[in-house]
Amino acid sequence: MIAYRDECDLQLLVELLHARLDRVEEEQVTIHLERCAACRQELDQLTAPDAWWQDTQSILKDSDSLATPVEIGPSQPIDNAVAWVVNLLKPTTDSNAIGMLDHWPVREVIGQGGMGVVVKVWDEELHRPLAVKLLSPMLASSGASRQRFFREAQAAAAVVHPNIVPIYTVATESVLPYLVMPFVAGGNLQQRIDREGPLPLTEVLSVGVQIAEALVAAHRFGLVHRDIKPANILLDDGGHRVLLSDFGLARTIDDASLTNSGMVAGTPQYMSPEQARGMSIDHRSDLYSLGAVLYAMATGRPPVRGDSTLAVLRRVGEDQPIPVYEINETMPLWLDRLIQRFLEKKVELRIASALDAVELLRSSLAHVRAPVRNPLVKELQTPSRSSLSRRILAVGLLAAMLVVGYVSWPTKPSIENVATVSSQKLFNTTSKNQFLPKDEMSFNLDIPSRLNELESRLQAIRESIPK
Amino acid sequence: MAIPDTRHSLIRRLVDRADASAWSEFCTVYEPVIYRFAKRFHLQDADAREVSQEVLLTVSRKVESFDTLANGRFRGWLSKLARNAAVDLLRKRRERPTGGSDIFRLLSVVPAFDLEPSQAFLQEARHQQFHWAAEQIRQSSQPMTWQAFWLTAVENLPATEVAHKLGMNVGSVYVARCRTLARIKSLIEPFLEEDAS
Repeated sequence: MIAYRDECDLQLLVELLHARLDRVEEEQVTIHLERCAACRQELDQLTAPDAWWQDTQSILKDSDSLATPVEIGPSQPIDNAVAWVVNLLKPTTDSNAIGMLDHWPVREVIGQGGMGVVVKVWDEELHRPLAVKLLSPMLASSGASRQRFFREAQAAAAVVHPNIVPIYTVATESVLPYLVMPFVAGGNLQQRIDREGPLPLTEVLSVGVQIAEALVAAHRFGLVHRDIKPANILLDDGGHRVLLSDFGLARTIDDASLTNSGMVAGTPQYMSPEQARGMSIDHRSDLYSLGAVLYAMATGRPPVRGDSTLAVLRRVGEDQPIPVYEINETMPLWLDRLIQRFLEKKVELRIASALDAVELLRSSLAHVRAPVRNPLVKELQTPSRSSLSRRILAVGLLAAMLVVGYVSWPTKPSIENVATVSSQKLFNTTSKNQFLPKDEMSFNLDIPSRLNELESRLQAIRESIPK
Repeated sequence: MAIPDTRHSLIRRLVDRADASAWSEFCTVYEPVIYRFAKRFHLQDADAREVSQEVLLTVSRKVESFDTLANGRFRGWLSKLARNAAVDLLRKRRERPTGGSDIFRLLSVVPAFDLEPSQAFLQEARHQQFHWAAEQIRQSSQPMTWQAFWLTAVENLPATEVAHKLGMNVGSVYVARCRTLARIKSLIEPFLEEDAS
């Protein structure tokens, strides 16, 4: 590395500002800055002209929210949500409730999303908890948002399916419009992934099957969900049944009113490339998002990551996600091929329908549970090179050997002939018995699923032995 | 030497409808600008929201045909759209119930229209751009870095005092302060290029 440097060097300051120095150099320049007032001033100038520093001070100085650095922890937004929700509630004598929303005692605030706040209320008549989703006051004052909110209600209410959260009531006349839904006790998939990391393979697939089934039902109504992500997938108590919620952004395909303004609606990390680019989308956009959810369940993180929404938006459709088994080595190789069917960037190459998705996921789940009885579907099996390309390879090798043979024995045609025949023979036997199987092996590294398979085969043998 | 900016001018990106991130950025920054500008015309909250939505929709319809040479600067155009939308709505609201003289009284309290582009609009825009960009950077900054920036650049405390307070050395405080503003500036710059194009 460079020698200890305690001198003024403009170029080094520039590099420092752009964070292009290595750690040692950065330390040295920083130490120099400590002593050299001239360089500190220089750095200020390199950053921005005086007017920018003045504006920074005069424009930002009154903002309390900006003054506080971002600490890790989700408590902040919920606290804000509690504040404005509680203000809207009427007082109550019920000690279990924080206030009344119309005739409903509100127990607690359970979440906050892009559209508003979700509270838990108690249904006195049926003695059960319900979830009430309130449109935020900011949005309630805008006609477009109100419409979108009611569209959510209509869209979701139209589809009745065991894996879609039903809508019981829509209140339009209240202070704030709200939807009433059942309270789903198990939290959402995002919380579970945050808590436990990647899910076991069988659960990845079974959650996938259920979401795909919900999509079959929704797509049949011409409804595209548009915002499928782990936070919108609720887990029933025990976590065995999952429910797709928040059709907040769903709208019938022909309603393009908001798309025209080019506004982005949805969660970029789970968004299809076509949606992130603001292009027209159809049901296959949901299938992409489902693939991103499968990826998140298998690895513990979304396929595309970035510091900010904008960074993510830019990267959707550009980056190739890291293969699942590189992040979670307990996952079989074929899971990547399965997820890739969903994350295909070109819409026309992507898995074509939710129905196909159900079939693919179901058969894969069956394979995991009983590998012998249910072989993996063809399209997920290890890619074997086509026999055609194998033949081309063989012919090429043969030709190469012939040339070598010819060059080696240019003056003895009779020997050349012998050599040709014998090399051909030699080649044929090699190719059948050694060369090709070896080639096949190198593509067959799918060890976890092979082990699975062997294990269940063993089990099958054990069972077949009469006692 | 300025921070190299690889991002294209926002307005050029808006013309490309496929660029959803440009639209989201544009709306995030300008919706509140137009809203606050409209409020200066004594419009109600809901009306000011209507104005901002209408202006954004107009921009989305017309940005392709926006001609820098013929129409002048982009923010000037935007401020004209906002002013027209606000005045139209004001007329609509006030004409029916009270009629006649009231509209003149109201229009007379409206801030001067003839500044071109309206100084008030530019101020709002600068304000909003700064707040928006600072928030983006705050979200992705280490708490210490952000505090070093904030205490020196915004609260104008001496670097030595801040270094002592945060347990950093003065050099690091300077690096944090300058890198943070450089990042903020690089987010704001695409908005300014609109006018330079």
